[in-house]
Amino acid sequence: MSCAEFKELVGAYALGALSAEERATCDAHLSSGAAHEGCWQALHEANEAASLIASSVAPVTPSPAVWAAIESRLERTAAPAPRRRSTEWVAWGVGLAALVLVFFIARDRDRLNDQVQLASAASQRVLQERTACATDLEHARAEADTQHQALELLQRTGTKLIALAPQGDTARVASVMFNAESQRAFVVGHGLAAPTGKDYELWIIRGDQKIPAGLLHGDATGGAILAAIDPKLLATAPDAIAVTLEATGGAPQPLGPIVLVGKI
Amino acid sequence: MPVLSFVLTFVAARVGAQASAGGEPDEGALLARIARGDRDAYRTLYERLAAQGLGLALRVLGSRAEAEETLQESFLDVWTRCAQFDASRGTGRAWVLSMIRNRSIDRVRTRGAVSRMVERAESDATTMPRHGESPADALVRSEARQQIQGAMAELTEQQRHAVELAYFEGLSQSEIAERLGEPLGTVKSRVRAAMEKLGRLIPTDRGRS
Repeated sequence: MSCAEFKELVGAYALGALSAEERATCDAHLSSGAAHEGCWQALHEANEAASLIASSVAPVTPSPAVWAAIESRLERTAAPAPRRRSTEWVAWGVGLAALVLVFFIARDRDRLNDQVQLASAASQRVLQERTACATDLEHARAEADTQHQALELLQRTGTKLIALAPQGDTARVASVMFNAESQRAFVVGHGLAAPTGKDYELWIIRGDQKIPAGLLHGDATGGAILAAIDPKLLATAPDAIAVTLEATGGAPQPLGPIVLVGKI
Repeated sequence: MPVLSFVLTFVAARVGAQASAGGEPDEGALLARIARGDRDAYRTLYERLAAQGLGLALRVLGSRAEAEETLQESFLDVWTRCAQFDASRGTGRAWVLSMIRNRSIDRVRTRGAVSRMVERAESDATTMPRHGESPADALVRSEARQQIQGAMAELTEQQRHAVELAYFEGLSQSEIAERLGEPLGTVKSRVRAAMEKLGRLIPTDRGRS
């Protein structure tokens, strides 16, 4: 519908004399976002013209009962502005409730996140402890196995127990259980807590050869240690066994001082 | 015709001036205040338009009891729907009267218009001063109505009949054509011409806001 067409119908529109279809078309034209060419002005004037028709009728003063009834109904009817306000209040209330809900959800979410993080951290700690326990258990089993083997070796015929003589500090004590037939040997010692940056290293000495046979890791308290010597190094009976103090990790050839030594 | 237009302008301006000169707001401003819950404004609007509204309802319904009931319902509608008033579509007065007219037409359609004519004679009742209205004001209002009736008299009989059938009986142009046994195009032309003629008689301070 064009603006000209609307203005053709606007009089009947104001009178309410259009068909439902025509009225809908006019309503759609008015509510369209297009720029109008005097449509609103024409509608305004048509409505005024219609009100002139109403005003041509003789006024009749209503009985007081009409206003009394309106006032009475008004008391039971929500006021327009208050109702709008109540609607606004409801909207505000719903909004506020939503905000509170969001706040609590966010707070609970944060709390849950914290709890999840705490649980995750606790889980990590448990896993680490489990891994540590497994490692300790493995070490304990290895130690027990070593001790079992040492005891077995100690019970064997021909096993010799050679005390390694301390060189200098007599707090360091070690002995070697050696069985030439089975080519097995164990070192037992205590007081072998190495200083920081140092390790005790075991050597097989055969003639001029000094063969590294592993590090002796004593605990910090200097408690007893038991270490097996690789049987391959014992294929030929050693002349002596010595312990030196080397830099951490040991050395291919003895560089540090000899702290314990014993002739086989 | 120019003389009539001048008199209409003068009378309507005087009626309008009564509302605004004494600091009294027009109906649009009253509706805005009512939308904020102002009961004083609501009472003022009622006192200003109730008699005209009842006359209109009576003209449509023909029954004073039904007309007063319709007036009551219409003013309750005004109270609850005043926020919907759109000043770009017309004045507050036109909006309120159209609500009364529409409710009256709806009631006629509901009850079938059987007894509509019974009390129609009451529509010619003597104009009575409204509550709080001075005799002088009532006279001016009466003069204004007479001038408006004069404006209606400017319409041809056929034009007036067509718009009255539409406005007071709620007939569509097709229904008017059917009732009058006239071609639809003819009825449309009459309605358009009548409304254009009435539009030209509207004082500029009422027709444009």
